[in-house]
Amino acid sequence: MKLFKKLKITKMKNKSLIWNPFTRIAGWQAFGIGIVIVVVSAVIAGFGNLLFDGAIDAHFGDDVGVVKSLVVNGISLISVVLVMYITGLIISRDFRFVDILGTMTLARAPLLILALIALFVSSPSEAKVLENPMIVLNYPSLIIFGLISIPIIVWFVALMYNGLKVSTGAKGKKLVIGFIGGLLFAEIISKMLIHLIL
Amino acid sequence: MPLLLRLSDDEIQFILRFVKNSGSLKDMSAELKLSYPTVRNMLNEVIQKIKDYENEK
Repeated sequence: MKLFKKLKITKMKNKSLIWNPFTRIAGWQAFGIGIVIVVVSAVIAGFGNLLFDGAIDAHFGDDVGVVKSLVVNGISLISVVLVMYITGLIISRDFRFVDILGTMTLARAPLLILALIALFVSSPSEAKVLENPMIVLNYPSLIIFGLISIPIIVWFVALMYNGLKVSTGAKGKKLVIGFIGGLLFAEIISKMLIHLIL
Repeated sequence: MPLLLRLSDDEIQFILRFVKNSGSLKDMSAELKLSYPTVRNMLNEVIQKIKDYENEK
């Protein structure tokens, strides 16, 4: 009865809230906070030429701009929310759409850190990278960005996993397989939609 | 042994709170400072445990 240990939630450590804030906050409240962070992240990422173009992707592009960044981030978020909702319908019987919407939106909060760091990163043009992928080694700030992005993405994925777990109440293999499948599917859907719309 | 006595103290406390809040998970989540789905999951765990005990009979 792990959940019942949470009855003593007042003693819950901040550390566990970093990985799973959804035991305290979900639904519209999480969506309200999450959407502000998502929009701010997208605007900042636009200035840093960073695109969150997929369920768990972040790539530098040429002249990204705020509008493109907002559209791409929006498509990625919608893809994740819809796919995780469908996943929820498969792995659980009793849950609310608004909890998936809220938790998946707030789960994108770590991307704000990447967006801020991207402002200080210089990257080669896409054409140069296609011509010679090894050129990225000449951009130390890009390499540092890549290294920092690993724990940030891990945190982001963990938040999405816990968001699905809390929202649907699913457990065990069903949850793990559903989450991995959902994430892969969301990645494919978002890439396709971005390609079709932009 | 009566079914309710087989539940843990925390689970009985949860059921008492549930009754005192007229079965409103929303009010319970506000009282416990937990999210709505977390409280709903806790209720589902109690329901499952009660069903398991009933099936043992």
